[in-house]
Amino acid sequence: MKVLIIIPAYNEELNILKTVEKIVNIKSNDAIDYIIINDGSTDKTQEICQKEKLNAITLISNLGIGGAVQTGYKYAYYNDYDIAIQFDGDGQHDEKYINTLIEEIKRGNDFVIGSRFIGNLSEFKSSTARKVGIKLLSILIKVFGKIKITDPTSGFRAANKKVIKLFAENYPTEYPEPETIIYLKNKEMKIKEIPVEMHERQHGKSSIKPLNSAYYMFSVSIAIFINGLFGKRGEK
Amino acid sequence: MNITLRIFLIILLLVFLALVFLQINKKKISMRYASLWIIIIFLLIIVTIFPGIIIKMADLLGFETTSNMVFLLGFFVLAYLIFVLTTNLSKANEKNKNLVQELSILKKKIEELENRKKVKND
Repeated sequence: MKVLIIIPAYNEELNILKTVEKIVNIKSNDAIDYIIINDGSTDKTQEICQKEKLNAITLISNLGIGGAVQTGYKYAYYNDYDIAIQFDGDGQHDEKYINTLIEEIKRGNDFVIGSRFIGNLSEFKSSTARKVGIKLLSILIKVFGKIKITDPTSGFRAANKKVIKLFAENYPTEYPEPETIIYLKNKEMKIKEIPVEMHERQHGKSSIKPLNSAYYMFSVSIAIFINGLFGKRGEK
Repeated sequence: MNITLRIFLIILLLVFLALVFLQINKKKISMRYASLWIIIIFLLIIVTIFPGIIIKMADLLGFETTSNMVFLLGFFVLAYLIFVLTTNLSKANEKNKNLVQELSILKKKIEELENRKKVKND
C-alpha cells in the first residue's frame, strides 16, 4: 500500500527537520512517503525545505490549517495514494502510532482518529478549559452524528482512498477537525478511534488561540448542528 | 421638503451616478452590481423629486413620521446588501483557496520535472 504522511507546517523552522527525520525512520511493510505543506510561512521553513531537499509544497499564500491539509489530500488523490495520514509538524504527534493507524485502515475502517483520551497512553491531555470544550464537541457529535468520538479536535488521523477522494473534493477548511467527522458519517464512512500518545508542542503556538476559542466553539457547534440536521438530506 | 435641500440631494445622487458610470467605464465594477446601484439611485432621485410618494406610503403603513419609514427601509436594504456581499465574499474565498491549492501543487510538479531534466542533461 502507498502511504502518504501529510505534514502541515506554518512557521515550523525549529521542528520541521526533526519531524521529517522521525517519519523517514519509521519501519513499515508499506511504502511511506511524506509531503510538507508549507502554509506560506514567514520564517525559514521554506529555506530549510529547499536546503535539505525535503518533499514540500509551498502554498503561494497562507490558507490556514484546513486549506493546507486539504492541499495534502489533493496531492494524495492526484498521486494515487491508498492511505493519507495527517501528522502535525510541531512535535505533538508520535510517529510510533502511524503503523497502528495503517493497520486499522487495512482492517476495513475508512477513517481512523488518534485519540489522547482513550486509555492512559497519553500523559499530556490539554488544559482544563480546552478539555471542557472537547467534551462539549464530543457530546454534540454524539447527538447529531450518532457516533462516539472522544477526541474530535485531534489532528492525528488516517484516511483511506475513499475518504481521500471525498476530502480532495470537499473539505470544511475553516473548522476542519470536528466537522469532518459529521461529514464522513453522513457519507456512511466507517470511523474508528484508537488510543495514542500526544506530547506538548515543542515550539510555536497552537492554531486555536484562547481569545478566539469561544467563537471557535460557537462556529463548530453550529456547523455540526447544520451538518447533522441537513447534511444527509442536502447531499443526496 | 425645502427646495435647496432637494436640489442638493439630487446633485449628490447625480455625482453618485457619475461615479458608478466611471467605474463601469474603467471595468472596476461588474454590470451585475452596477445595475443594482443605478436602480437604487434612480429610485432615490424619483423620491426626491416627488416626496409625496413616500409621505403617503408611510401614512398608509402607519408610520408616525415619514423619516422613520425611510430609515427602517434604508436599514433593511443595507443589511440585505451586506449579507449578499458576505455570501459572495465566501464564494470568492472558496474559489481563491482552490486556485492557491492547485497552483501550488502544479508549481511543485513543474519544479520536480525541471530538476529531473537537469539531472538528465548533466
